Amino acid sequence: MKKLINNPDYYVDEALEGMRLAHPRGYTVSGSNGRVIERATRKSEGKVGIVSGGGFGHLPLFAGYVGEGLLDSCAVGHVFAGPSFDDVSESLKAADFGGGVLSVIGNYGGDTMVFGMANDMLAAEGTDCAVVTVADDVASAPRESAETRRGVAGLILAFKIAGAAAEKGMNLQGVKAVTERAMTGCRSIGVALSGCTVPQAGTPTFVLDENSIEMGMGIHGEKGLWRGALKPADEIASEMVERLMADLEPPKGARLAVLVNSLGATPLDELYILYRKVSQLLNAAGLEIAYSLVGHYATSMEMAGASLSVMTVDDELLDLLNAPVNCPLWRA
Amino acid sequence: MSSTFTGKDIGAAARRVAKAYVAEAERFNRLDAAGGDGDMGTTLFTVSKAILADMEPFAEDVSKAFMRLAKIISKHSGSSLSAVIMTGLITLSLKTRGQRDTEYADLSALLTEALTSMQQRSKAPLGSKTVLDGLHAVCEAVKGGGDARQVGQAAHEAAIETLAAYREKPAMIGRLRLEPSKGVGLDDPGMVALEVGIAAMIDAEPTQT
Repeated sequence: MKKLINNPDYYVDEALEGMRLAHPRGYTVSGSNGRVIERATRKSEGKVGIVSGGGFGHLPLFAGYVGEGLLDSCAVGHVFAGPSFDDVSESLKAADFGGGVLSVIGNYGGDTMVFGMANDMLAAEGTDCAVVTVADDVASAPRESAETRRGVAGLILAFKIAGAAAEKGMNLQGVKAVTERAMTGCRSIGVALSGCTVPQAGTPTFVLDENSIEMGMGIHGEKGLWRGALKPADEIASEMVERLMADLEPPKGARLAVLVNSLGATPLDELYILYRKVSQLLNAAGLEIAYSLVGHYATSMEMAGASLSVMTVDDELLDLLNAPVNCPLWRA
Repeated sequence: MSSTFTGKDIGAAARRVAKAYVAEAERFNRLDAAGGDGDMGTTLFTVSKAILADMEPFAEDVSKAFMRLAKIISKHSGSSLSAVIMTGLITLSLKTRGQRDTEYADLSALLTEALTSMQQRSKAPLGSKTVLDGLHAVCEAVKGGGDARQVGQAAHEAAIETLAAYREKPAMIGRLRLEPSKGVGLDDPGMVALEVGIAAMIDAEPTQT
């Protein structure tokens, strides 16, 4: 294992401490386990609180997206392992400003159950709560059972929509509805070029041969659709676009938000090479890219590879995507 | 032997189970890796270490003992298995409120209530090849009550039989649901953990799969 760490046991806590020290005007760390990240900036009374949480190792995803116009708080677990019930409960309470609390989470068994229990408890204490579960990874289940898909980079777009809607003053039902509507039109797929190592495990979660890739792999190394020889970027981009369009079936002329995301080690250069082809293909299909993000948004530590997310948008969703953000790790 | 159990008994049993889970962590990870993300052993190890580190003696109150265990889990783990176990423990705590001892004859009904709440939380129907199938078999096996030894042995036999009965069945929940046939021939790691836990409670040797 070749990582810039001190002790695998303190990987998450030391990284969180570094985030707080580097961005004192962005983040505060709280919670009885020190695993709740909150916005350092002042929150409006009555605003809907937006919360998420998940395993660590995906920065900026989850904790990095706490900020004005995005999340109000986030529960942080261990590397690739969801946050504890206490951390989630404390995150929800930290985001209770009187307007209700919306949890936006990925569709993973532990997270949905723990957030479900914590929401039930907070609701029993009199706070309005709701949950939006993001399930955008088309490789993780067929369309007939789309509700069982994993949540991956589509979470970024969900955070942006929910955070902006809450800042605009929408009520809890409104924020939930617009976020769910956005996610109904969101699809993602990833391709892995190499594995990554969970610090406490010390060995790679999976190994890919020098010239192999895996299409459809999840952000924790979950099995993908096929493993085979590395291909030119344009061919990989074509397959990703083809799979997403076959699943989403956007009407001709539809406007799309597009996110080309690095899984960690893949540099911006290669992401733009992918984006170039994605853009050509979507334009050729009569689709308009109305909003684009290219960069490191939802990573798996040092894993090489990329994911592509597309989301159909209308004027309302575009306004929310373009709304201002004040978050140290947000890059528009 | 006594036909009732107290909060102290629950605390002692939990410590025996925790020691077994610490010892079996790598085996659980290996079993889980066959169809999941391979971290079940680590999860149980983390929670078990926390249980073993909690040196405060358990009181007689049965309800408080169940809730104390639920709170240890709530602080240390966020996995689906932890959430399911926590849900069951909270139900057991609610259903034993005010009891300083509980009849083993009531154990089946209590576990059945816990099982129902765990199914509601996990949305896992019986027959899906999960820990809940093992627990269901235990609920049935301990209906006759008895003393600690009789109930423990009946529960252990049921857990072993359920493992064998499901070994050649497909897995319908979790990552293997996408390719259920891949679960054929494999033991569900949660069911194995149940068997190991019961074996530890009664000081029996766990089976090796």
